[in-house]
Amino acid sequence: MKSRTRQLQVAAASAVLITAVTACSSFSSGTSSGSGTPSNIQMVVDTGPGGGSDIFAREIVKLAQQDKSITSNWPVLSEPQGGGLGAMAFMKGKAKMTNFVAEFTSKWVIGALGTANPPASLSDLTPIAELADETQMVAVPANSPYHNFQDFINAAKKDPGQLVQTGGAPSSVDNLVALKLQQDTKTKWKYLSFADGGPRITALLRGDAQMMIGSQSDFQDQVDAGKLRIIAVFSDKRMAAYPNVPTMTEQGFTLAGMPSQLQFRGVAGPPGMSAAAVSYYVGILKKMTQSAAWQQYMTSEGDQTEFVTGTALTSLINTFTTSMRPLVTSLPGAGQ
Amino acid sequence: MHRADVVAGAAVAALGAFALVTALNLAFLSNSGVPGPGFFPTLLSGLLVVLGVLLAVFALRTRQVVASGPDTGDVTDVESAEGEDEPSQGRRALRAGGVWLCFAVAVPVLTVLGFVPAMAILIAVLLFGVERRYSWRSLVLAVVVPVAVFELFVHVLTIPLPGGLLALGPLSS
Amino acid sequence: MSALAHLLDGLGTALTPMNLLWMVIGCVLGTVVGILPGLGSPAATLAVLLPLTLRLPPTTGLIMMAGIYHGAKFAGSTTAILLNIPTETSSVVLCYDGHELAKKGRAGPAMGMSAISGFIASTIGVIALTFTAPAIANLAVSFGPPEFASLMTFGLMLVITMAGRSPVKGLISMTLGLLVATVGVDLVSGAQRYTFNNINLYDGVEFITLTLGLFAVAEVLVNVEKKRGKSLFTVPRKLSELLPSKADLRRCAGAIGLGSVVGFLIGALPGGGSTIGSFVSYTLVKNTSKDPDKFGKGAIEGVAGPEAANNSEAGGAMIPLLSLGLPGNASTSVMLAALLLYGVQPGPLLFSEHPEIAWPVIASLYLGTLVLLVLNLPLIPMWVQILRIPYWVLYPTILVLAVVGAYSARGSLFDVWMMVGFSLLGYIFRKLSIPAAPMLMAFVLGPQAELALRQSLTLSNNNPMIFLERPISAVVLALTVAVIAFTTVSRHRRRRRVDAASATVPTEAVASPSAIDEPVK
Repeated sequence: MKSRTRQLQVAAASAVLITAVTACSSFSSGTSSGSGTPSNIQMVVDTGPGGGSDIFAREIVKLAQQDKSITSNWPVLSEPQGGGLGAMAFMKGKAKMTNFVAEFTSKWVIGALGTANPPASLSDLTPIAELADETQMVAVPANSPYHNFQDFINAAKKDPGQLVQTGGAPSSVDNLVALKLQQDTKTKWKYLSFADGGPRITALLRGDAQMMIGSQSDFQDQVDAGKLRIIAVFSDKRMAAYPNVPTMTEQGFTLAGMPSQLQFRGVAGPPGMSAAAVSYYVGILKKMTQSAAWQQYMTSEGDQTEFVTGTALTSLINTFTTSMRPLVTSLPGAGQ
Repeated sequence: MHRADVVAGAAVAALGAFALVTALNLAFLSNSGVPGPGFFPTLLSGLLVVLGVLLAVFALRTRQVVASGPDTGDVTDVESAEGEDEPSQGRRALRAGGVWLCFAVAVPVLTVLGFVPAMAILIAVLLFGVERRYSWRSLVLAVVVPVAVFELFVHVLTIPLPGGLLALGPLSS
Repeated sequence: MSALAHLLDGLGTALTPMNLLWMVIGCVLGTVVGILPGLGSPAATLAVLLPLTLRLPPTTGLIMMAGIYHGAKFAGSTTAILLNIPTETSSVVLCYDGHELAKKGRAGPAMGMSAISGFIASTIGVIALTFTAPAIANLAVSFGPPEFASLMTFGLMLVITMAGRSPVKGLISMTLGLLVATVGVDLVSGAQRYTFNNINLYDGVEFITLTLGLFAVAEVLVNVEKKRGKSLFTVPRKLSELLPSKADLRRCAGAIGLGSVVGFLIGALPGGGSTIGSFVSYTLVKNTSKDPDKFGKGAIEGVAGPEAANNSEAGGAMIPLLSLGLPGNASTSVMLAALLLYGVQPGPLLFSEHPEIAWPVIASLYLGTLVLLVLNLPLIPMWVQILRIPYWVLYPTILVLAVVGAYSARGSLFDVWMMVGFSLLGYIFRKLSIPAAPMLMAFVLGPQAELALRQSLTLSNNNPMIFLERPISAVVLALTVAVIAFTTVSRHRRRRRVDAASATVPTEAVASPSAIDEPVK
């Protein structure tokens, strides 16, 4: 009997203690979210560690820390599947939470367009700010016979469906632009998908692929080392880093109907993020984009600062969506 | 045990059949004729059906041949041959099943109550219910482990853990 | 000789007391954080501790990262050996022999061998990195989709040879792993596979979710069946039994050498080739051993081989990172991110433009294993004490950490559910003697195998000859055939010998071989 009583005592005491622990933990959670500023902020990106979005996100966090806008570190959370679909789905699942922000890119729009029943789209999320546009360019191996884009088109016409462009998912911007170019010039070439950037570059160096459309950060070090060559840029005017490389328009490829910003990057919150939280993040990001360090980063990456918020940002996303829809729906895998 | 293999084989074949039906909705070849998204899943689930049937058939055949022999066939190689003085097969499975059930039930509890309370309850139930260890040490363990893990992940390593629906904020921290 | 001079110079830079201190701190932190499931892979540990290292000057920070990297690797091996929890892909094979050794009371020697073979392999890896980097970099570049497809075929064939006594069960496990790996949004087509419109499955299944369920929790379920509350296994108290003996070292010399070379070469391939280094090494060591039957039952060479590969891989993986600016695996991806955040652009020009960073980093990779060895050999007796913790204390803690690991991988409660499901599957596997490791290995190799196959056929306009026309791919395929043939022949010969010896047990001899041989043919 004695031991039975003791058992009951212990059991009762444990119940009390656990209740106390529960109360404590929910109490402590209350204090952090009660005040207006989000805490424990995590930045969601759509690439693995070392990927483009991952590095960009870490740079944002670093610069914001340098500005003293934020004191804590924002861990970068990688949700790499499905070219942004996974990240958007993740964000959608965090509805109304103020401590999750995602670093979106234009490919998130396309990802949702290309899926029959997308789990989420960028319009589900709360756009906070556009930060930059990453100028796209065409790279070929240094020993390639193509010295301008017309050379490549001519070769593609001679050998239809045989030249290879390398990149990520077929629904990524570089392939859609290529599809548009193939439609305009009535040619065809192949698209070789790799999940990571590294194998894409080696595919070019090895000669498995003849061409790649990407950003300056994809190519810069290989160009410096004399292994890759830039033959065209997708922008209104030539880039400071490559003054001798003509734009696509200069080379006679007008790409009518395509949006001027192909690879924009910005920050969005989960669905239904409060206005207070949005303006908290806008404040941090605005201050960051005005810093000298940010300008320097933009120059080194070949990006243009495009700080757009509010309704202007929403309409920018809508315009991009409208112009990309026909291209995306022409993809073989679309609407499955 | 061989009967278990027959059941397992049937289950594997059924799983493979289900996977096969699902895979048939995917394009086996893409437009250009190279393997499409359905190529691997179709082949793999087909293979799974074959393997399941093979397992069941072999088990049936082996049982006919070794009908009289003790159960020392190819099933005892991994782990199950240790210690004969232990609880019966049924009791053993019951204990394991009980622990698994507690573990599974802890997930919805985790969803509602958050990490620390759910894990404290899990440990307490395991130690008091399954292990019948009615001592103060069990209680200490039930409290210390979740709290220590929570502190370590959330505050030292800044990795969020589920806060639960009852918590006021998105994540208790 | 200038490479050697640079390396010595780098060693000099890395060897300042301050740098050494940070490296020791890194090693300790890496080990401690790496023990936690979900953070066990060096990539995750590095990512978690990255903010810490970024506060240091570049060289010091990168040296500390090298320490963390090695600490995390050692921690991964530790959990695999002691608790049968592989926290990263390369420590899965340690569960075969490392954990078996622990069960026999030889956890100490297994861990000691892990550290020693790791140290020797790093030495080989760093020396190879110093002198062969340009040549290996070229090899790495020439490794394209057909070569990867062949390599993955090699890996999957090796999984089959590991199937154990019942190939049907091994194949079931492997096929399930391959099938689970297809879950998610397909990269090439964008199609959803086995997602059932559940957004939580769009991202596929996490490695750690599968591992924790299939191994860690399933192990707990099997263990709780037995007696109540006792500690796991007996642990010898004598120090001499806690470290590998001279005989152990002699037995492992060949395995360490083989593992080092394999790990280095495979580690150098950009795009995740390193995951199979330790695995290929294990099977090669097993198949070239005089006594392959004792593998899987606690052969110390089964620890030395994969651990050597696992560590020389670090040297190999640095080659594409430092000489091409392309990360070879997840860990070097994090290092790449760190380099970029420091404002250092790794790439073809790194060695000429930033020798003050490149060489100390290589040197510190090497010093990392040395520090690890010095730090951890004396601590092994302490680690082994984990096994002396009463099981009623240990297993609830493992369950709690499993929940944390599954959740924290990507902040998803659905993953916790999946882990619970996989744990039941793992328990059933154990009850039916279906090996779980093939499923996990296939899960790791499957996606790369599939992608590489589809890429290759895209390149060749669906002509399968591409796998034979490309020389490296052809060599790998030839190697595959050779290893399979060798394994089959030696297994057959051994079985005949065994059958002849055990002619007194006719029923099994009649029943099993037919059941075993048929499916492989």
